[in-house]
Amino acid sequence: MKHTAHPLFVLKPACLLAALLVGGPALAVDFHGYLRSGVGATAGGGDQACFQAAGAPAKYRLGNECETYAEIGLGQEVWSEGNRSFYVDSMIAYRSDQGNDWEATGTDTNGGENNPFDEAGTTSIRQFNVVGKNLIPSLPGAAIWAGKRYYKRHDVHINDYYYWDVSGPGAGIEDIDLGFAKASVAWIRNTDGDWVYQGSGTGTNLANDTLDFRLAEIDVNPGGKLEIGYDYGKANLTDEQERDPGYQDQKGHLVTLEHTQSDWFGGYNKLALQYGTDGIIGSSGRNNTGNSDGKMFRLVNQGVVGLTDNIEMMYVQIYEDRDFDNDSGQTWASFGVRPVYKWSDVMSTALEFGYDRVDPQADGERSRDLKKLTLAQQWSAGNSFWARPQIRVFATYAKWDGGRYQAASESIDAGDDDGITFGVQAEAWW
Amino acid sequence: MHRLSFLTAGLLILALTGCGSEPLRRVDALTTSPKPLERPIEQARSALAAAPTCCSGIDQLPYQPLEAGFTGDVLIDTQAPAYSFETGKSFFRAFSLPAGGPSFEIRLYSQAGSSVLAPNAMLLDSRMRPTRLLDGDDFTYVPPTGLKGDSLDARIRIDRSQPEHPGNERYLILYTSDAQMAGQTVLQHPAKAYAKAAGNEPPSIPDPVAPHSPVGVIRLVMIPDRDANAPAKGYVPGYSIGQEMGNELPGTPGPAVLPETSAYYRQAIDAALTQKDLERALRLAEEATRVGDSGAKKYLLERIEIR
Repeated sequence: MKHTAHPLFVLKPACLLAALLVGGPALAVDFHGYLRSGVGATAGGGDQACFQAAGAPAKYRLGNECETYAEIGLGQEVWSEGNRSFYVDSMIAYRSDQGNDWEATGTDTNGGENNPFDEAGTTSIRQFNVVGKNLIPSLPGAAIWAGKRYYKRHDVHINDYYYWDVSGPGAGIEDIDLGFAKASVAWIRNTDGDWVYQGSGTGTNLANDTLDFRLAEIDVNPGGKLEIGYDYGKANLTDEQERDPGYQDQKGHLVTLEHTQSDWFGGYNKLALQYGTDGIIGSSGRNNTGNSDGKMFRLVNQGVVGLTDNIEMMYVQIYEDRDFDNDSGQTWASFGVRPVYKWSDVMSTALEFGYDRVDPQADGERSRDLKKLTLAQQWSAGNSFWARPQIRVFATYAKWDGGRYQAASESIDAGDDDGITFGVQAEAWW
Repeated sequence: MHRLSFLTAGLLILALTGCGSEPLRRVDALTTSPKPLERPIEQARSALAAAPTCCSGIDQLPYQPLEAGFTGDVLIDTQAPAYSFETGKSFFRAFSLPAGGPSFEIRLYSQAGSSVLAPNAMLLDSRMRPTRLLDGDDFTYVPPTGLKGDSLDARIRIDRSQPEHPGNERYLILYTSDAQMAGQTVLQHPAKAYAKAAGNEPPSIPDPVAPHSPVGVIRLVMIPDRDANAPAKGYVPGYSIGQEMGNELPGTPGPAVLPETSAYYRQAIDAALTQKDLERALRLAEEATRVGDSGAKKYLLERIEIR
């Protein structure tokens, strides 16, 4: 009974710490995840506004995130014998408007009686998969996998932009050792909405298949590695969908070349070049059957560098040209830097400047741009650029050209062309 | 109450060790990991070579008492005493562990940065005899999680189920060895840690390497069994019955055997000897001894001598 008398022992600081510190053999379940949450406001009154150029696929995130987002992942190696093993992974994601205590993830309108902000949450089933390592004797080091999975996603941290991401339900073989490279092959599904027979009848889903091929870790120069990728996306049509003369069945190709350079000003640089066609234009590798014909070129250059012992900086340059035959495309240019000055082990000051410019392809449509500047005082566990958890107190100023800012809030009046927000936000990953 | 005991333990340790080198900086349980000691390895190596050996034997080391529930940082720097261990000369810190109280676990986190002290740990019983030696196999690299930084970690359970037992582990020495100092630890790049946590593809860049240094900071946390999750390495000293190494027990005399029983065994021994069954006679004598007839063996020997 002595044990049951102390169920709250984890509340004692030392024990809580110990529980956090040790993911030892006793706790074989890997608990991993991500969260961001906080509170903010707009100068002049109202909820925190978040600033993103209209049509831009991303926004610079420091002091510019208005929602609560969390990922809870639980994984475990459930079997291992020698170098062969099975790993079971799972992840649920949560998002809410960050407006109330109670933000239900289901919809229960209760005949309109409920406050809609009490139902501002959503849940997403993002990962449930099994990875089996070294199961095929002829492919040592390789893993076979199946299930919903984040599949080798390539992102830019400071604007939360994923330029190569075909994640979804799928299966594949990864990390086949070819000597000069590691090869991976995957088949992944995405569904791009309902198809309706010639504008009428019952909708059925449009299943797209992406076949993804990658060669990674190719040595090209001292400290430099190359990754080559090819994605082919195509709708997997039913007989009825196939017979529909009015339906546009677009396919797409995407080629990615990515070079990663270490020993780069005390950090690293990643340069990605992508060329895509038709169905894959504008996406991160997933097919979209409704696209027009066309082509896309995309450049993403990013890095984290240590300028001095006390200053680390992340930077990114993006240029994306979506050229559609029906003139519905656009070019997007983006540039951002986030230098961080470290005052101590746990405290730093971050400045983030981001610029986005979108030029529509169609004649007569005006281009628009948005500049964003954030100053944040940060407290984090450690002083690396990547150290988290972190709590930051921020102020953000944004300016855009008249009226073409993508409103995420009612706090900015129509016709305004700048805004100031401030708040406190926490971010953690583990 | 716990916080208070940490505080007193910390203050006590501080008072005992003095503020000169401050080997145990008291930290609050919820502060972040201590900063790894970033000192040039070559400098630390030459300091170690030049450092005088403090003591003539293991039992002469300056042992500092640790209170139950202690949490703090053990600073093994060039100001620490040095001793020539069998595994090589090393700076060290030596502690005496609480004698009574519940069994507990010691968790050790050697903080890694541009370099890391790859620890050895030696445990000694109350008679200063080594019971366990922990080395590179026992301290494993654990990437940063939560408030914890990069570190080489080990967990040691200290048994106190028999409080008065002389075999209980009473002393702990933290040091390093020549073999450990020759090695290095590959740390996880923080950008890769982020990628892993977020489910992204980690950048293709090499991980930082921390060469093993003669100096470092080891976070030491003592947790009573009740709160520790599970023991990593249990050590329970065998309960002594005083018969080790051929020692005889004083033994408690059994109840006296009845004359009838004694007579029966002698008779049976005689019968066996008559049949020249010496083995049977011997077994009978031993059996008689077991039931308490201490004279049966003597009786048999006399009979054999007569023949």
